[in-house]
Amino acid sequence: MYAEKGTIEVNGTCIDPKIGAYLHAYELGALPEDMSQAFEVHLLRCQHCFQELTAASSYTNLLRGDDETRRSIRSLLADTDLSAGGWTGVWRRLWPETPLVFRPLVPYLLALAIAAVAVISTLPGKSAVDKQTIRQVQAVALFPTRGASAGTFTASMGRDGVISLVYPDAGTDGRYHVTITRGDDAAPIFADAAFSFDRYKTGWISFPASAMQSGTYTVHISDLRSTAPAEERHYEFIVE
Amino acid sequence: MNQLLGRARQGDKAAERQLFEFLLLRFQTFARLKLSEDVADDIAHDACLTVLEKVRSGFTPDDFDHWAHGVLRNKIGNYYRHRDIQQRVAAEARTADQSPGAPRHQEAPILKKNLLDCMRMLIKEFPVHARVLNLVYQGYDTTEISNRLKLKPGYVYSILSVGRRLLRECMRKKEP
Repeated sequence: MYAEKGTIEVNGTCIDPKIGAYLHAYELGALPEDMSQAFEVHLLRCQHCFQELTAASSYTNLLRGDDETRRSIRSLLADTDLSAGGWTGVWRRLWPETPLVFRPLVPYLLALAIAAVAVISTLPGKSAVDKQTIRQVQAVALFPTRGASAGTFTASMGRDGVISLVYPDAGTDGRYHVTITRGDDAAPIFADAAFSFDRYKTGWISFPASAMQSGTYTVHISDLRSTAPAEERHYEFIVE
Repeated sequence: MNQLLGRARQGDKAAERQLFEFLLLRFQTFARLKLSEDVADDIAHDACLTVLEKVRSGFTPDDFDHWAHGVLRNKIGNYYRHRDIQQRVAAEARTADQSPGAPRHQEAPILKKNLLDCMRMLIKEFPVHARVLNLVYQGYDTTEISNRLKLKPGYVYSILSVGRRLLRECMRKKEP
């Protein structure tokens, strides 16, 4: 309705919401003197705040000035637990008292995170991983060599192991036939007709302690797509 | 208001009357929060006349709002000083009920009942507002309340605003 110093009053809104927020404190007579004066000066211009003030004046005057009402409200407040210390205070901080729209999100997000963790921990795959313990196993690393001075890998008997073997001719899309035999036994203790190598041309075989007995072991690798004998490779290692 | 002021300074009687009514309504509201209704109305009327006389005389303050509000403030201050002197001279002990400074409210009992019902709901549902209100009724101002409750002043005003909104909704529902 009126404008000065760049403030333009839009119908139904406060021209200065920062000062407009003092309204209820002013109604209750709880504003310090300087702020009270500033708010009254604001009311000379702000139609919205003035209308709000006058619309509720019938009962806000009671809140502020009527002795009987003030006594009744004091007794209501006295009957209410207003302490914020101890466990009550902790609880109140965790469970906010403000209306729903003003409640901080933190406790709810925290509760959500705890619930999510609880659900995830009940999943079978996850819990199985959590319950396992990590232990060291021996690594049997077999690399091909062109030299004649190639040594033979020696592993310890009765310990779990992981055999890693490099096959230079391997492709990542191929499927290879890999067998492991011990000594002169014809029957392989490990056979896989669909063995694959990673992009570093390395494959991995888990070798349990029960199979890790003394003897000389031979690893045979052949490309199932090739019929040439030259494509086959052999690695040997000894378990003592 | 600037237009009204400009026209009033040029001697426009209608603008003077509008300005007078505009200021009187607000001054009465401010004064009634500090004084009894009849005294407040007299002082507001007196302050408005003073403002209007100054406007007619061509007085142009830098900030009209602050100046006009200052006129009212001075009138209220003068009233208090004058009353104190009268009291000392008369040496009559007045009871609080007879004091003109004590606001008198003779509101309908139903309004009081509704108000107390709403306050009961508000205190129960919105305890942080109740804690602020408790300090208000002990006589603390908002700056002291924010210090005591270790809340930012802006948050105290926000709590009071939310409480006011809830109170107003509750009172509106109880209206016949």
